[in-house]
Amino acid sequence: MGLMGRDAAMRFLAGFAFVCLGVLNSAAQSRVTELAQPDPIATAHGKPVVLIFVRSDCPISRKYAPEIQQLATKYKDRATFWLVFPSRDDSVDIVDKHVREFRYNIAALRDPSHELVRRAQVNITPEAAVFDAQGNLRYHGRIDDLYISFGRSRSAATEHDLDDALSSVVAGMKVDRPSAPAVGCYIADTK
Amino acid sequence: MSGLRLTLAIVSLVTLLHAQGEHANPIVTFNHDVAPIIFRNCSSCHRPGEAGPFSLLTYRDVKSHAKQIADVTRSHVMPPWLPERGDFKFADERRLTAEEIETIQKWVKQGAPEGEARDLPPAPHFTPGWQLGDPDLVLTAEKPYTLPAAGSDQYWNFVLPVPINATRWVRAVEIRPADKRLVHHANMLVDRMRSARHLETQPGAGFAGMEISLESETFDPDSHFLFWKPGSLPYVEPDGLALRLDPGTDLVLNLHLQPSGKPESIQPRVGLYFTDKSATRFPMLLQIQNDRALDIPAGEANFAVTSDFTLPVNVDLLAIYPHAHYLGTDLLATATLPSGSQKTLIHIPRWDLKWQGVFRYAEPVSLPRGTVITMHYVYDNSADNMSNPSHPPKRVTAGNRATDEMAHLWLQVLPQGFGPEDGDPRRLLMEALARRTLQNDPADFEANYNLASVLQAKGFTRQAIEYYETAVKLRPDHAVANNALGAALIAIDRSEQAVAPLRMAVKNRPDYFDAHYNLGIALHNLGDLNGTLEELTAAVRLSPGDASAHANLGAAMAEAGHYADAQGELENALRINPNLELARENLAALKNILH
Repeated sequence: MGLMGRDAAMRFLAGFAFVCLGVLNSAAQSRVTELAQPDPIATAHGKPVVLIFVRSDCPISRKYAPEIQQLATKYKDRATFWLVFPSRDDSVDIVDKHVREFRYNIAALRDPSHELVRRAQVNITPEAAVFDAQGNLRYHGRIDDLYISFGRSRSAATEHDLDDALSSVVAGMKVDRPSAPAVGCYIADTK
Repeated sequence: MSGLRLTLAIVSLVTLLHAQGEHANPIVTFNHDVAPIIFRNCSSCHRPGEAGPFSLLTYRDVKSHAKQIADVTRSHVMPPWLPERGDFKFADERRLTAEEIETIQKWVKQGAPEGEARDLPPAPHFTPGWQLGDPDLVLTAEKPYTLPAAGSDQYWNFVLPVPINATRWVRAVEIRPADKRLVHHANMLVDRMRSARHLETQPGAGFAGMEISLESETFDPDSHFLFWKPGSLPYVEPDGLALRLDPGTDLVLNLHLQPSGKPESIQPRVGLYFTDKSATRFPMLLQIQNDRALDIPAGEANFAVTSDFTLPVNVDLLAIYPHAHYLGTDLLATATLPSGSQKTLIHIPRWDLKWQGVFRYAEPVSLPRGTVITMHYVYDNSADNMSNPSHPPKRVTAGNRATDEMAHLWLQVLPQGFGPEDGDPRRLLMEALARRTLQNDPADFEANYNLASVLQAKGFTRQAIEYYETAVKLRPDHAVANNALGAALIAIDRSEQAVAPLRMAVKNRPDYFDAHYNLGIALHNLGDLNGTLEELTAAVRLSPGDASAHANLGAAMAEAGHYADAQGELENALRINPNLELARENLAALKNILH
C-alpha cells in the first residue's frame, strides 16, 4: 500500500535579539533605626563621620542604596555613617519605611532645616560629606562617578571618590580631591 | 529633641532670586504658565503607579523638583523622546517646544511662584487601572522574577501561555510590566510553536534575555509590534488589522529592567482585548540589518554601518523600531522614493538604549514599490563614550550580549495588492528581504532558511534545497532546518538523502512530530518497513489527533502483515477525518484481505 503524501512542513523564522547582562549584588540585612536627632558631628566619639544625604523619591539616590550600605559595612569600625534626609516631605514614617525597604543598616536623621546641609556644603541627593574626628569637613561630593548627568550614566563607576577620601581620612592622610560635584536631585528644591 | 539650629540662608537666597526675576521678566507662575506644560507632557508618567519616580500633579509636587525639572527639560533628558522632528509625525509625540522649555527656566529663576488660583487649569484626568476597561483575558506571569537591588540592567523573559480553545482576534494588548519605575521597555512576541518555553529550566520560571528565534507553523510572518515603553497607552488596532491568536500559543514577554536599589519582585500581567472582526489586512514586520558590517575597532569614535532595502511592492509604513546597543550614537533611516525625493523616516541623533521604543506614525506613510529604505547607524567605541560597557574599549562585533552591538531597523508595513492575481505580497517582501540580507551576509541562517521556504512555496524545490542545505551547514543541530531540508528532499524523490537530516531533527528534538512523520515517509520510500513503523508510531504518540499519521501507520502495519492493528489505525484515522479517501480505500482493501 502506498503512503499518503504530505506537504513538507514549512517553518519560517523570525526573532528579536535581546541582550543579557550579568547579575551582581546581595542585599544587606535590614535594621530599623531610631530617628533620634543627635548632632552626628559633635558625637563622633573620636571617629570620622560620614553623612550621606538622600531623598526617598530621588531615583539616583534610591539606586545608590546598595553602594552606600556596602561602604558603611566596609568602614564599620573606623567611621560612623549617617543617612540624612533633607527633604521636608520625607516624614518620620517615610524615612522609617525607606530605610527598611532599602535594607539600610545605617542610622537615619532628618534635616528639614538644612542645618547639616549647610555644614556639609552639599546641594544634591545623593551626596556625601566626610568629617574627621575633630569635626573638620574633609570631603564633600559625589559617591562615585557612575552618573555623568541626570539621565546619563556610565556602565560602571571608574572613580570612587568617597571611598578614596574616606580611606585617606581614616589613615590620617590628606584627601587628594576634597570635593567633586554630585549628580542627582537638588536639595534646594526641597525648601 | 533636635540639637540642630535653624538657618534662613537658603530661604533668603531664593527670595532674592525671585525679586531679581520680577524686575527682569514678566512674572511666570505655576498656575498660569507651567501647569499646562506639566499636565500635558509630564503627569501621565509622573503619577502614582506609573513610570515616573515621583508625582507631578500639583504645585507642591512640581515645586519640590523645580530646579531638577529646569535642568532636565533644558538638556532634553525629559520628557524622554529620542526622534528629532522629521518628515512624518509620530503618534503620541512627547516633546517640549523651545518656548515651553524657556517658560520653565524663567519660572524656576523667578523662585517658582504659584500664582493665582483662578489660573490653574483642571487637573489632568487619568483612567485608573486597565486603560481600555476590563480586558477579555488577563495573563499573569506564573512565577515572579526577583530583580537584584544593584548592578547593571537586566533582561528577563516570561512565557505566558494563552488559555483559549478557539482562535481569537486581538484588537488591543495592554502590557502591565510590574512596577513601571523598574522597566525601561517591554517587548512581546507571539510564539505560535511554543518554542521559547524550552528555554525555561522549569515551566513558568522564565529565562534570562538572549536572542530568541521563534518558529511559526506555516507562512505566518510576525505582524504586530507588541511594545510598551514608559507613557505609552495601549494601541487599538483598526478593524481588519487584528492579531490572530490560536489555541496553543504562548506570548513571550521580554523586559528590560533597571535595578532600583532594593530587590524587587517582577510579575507582569498582560490584558488582551478581543474583537469579532477577523483580520482582512495583514501587516508584516521587516527587519533590515547589517550585523555583519559591525566590526568596530577599539577606540573608533565614528563607525558607520549602512544597509538598504528596495521595496518589491507598495506598502503603508505603520511603525518603526530602530535598535542598537550601548555604542550606538546616531541612528537614521530614510526612504528614497522612485521620484528621487528623500524622506527621513526617523532620526535619533543621541541614541540612548534605555529610551528605545517602537515609534508609530500618526498617519500611515505610503511608500511605493521601488522605494529604497536606507539605514545609517553610527557607533562610538571610544573611551569618551560614557555608555561604553568595556573599559578599556575593545573590538566589538555583532551579538546578543550587552558588550556586543546590533544594527537593526524594524519596520511594520501593510503591503498593498493582496489578490488572486498577485498572490500574497508578504512572500515577495520575505523573498526580497532574505535575498538582500544574504548580499550583506551569505552566512545569515534565518535569511537562508526563509528564502528556501519561500522558494519551496513557489514550487522551486531544487533551489530551495540549496538554501536549506546552507542553513543546515550553518546550524547543523537545528531541528527545524533539518526537518525542512528532509521534507524538501522527499518531495523531489531523494528520500535516501533525506534520512540523515531527518534523523538529526529527531535526535535534537525527540518530541518533534513533523520530523518523525517525515522520517517515517522517507524510510518507507526506501523500503525500511521496521523503521517506518517505529517513526510513525512515534508520530502518532506525539500527535494522537493527526488523521494522516494514523492512516499511514495503518498502511505500514498492513504492509507488515499486522492486519488487526492496521485496521484499528485506519479506523482511528477515519474517525478523526472521515474524508481521508486513501484511508477508506486502504481499509476496504484490508477488509478484503481479512475476509
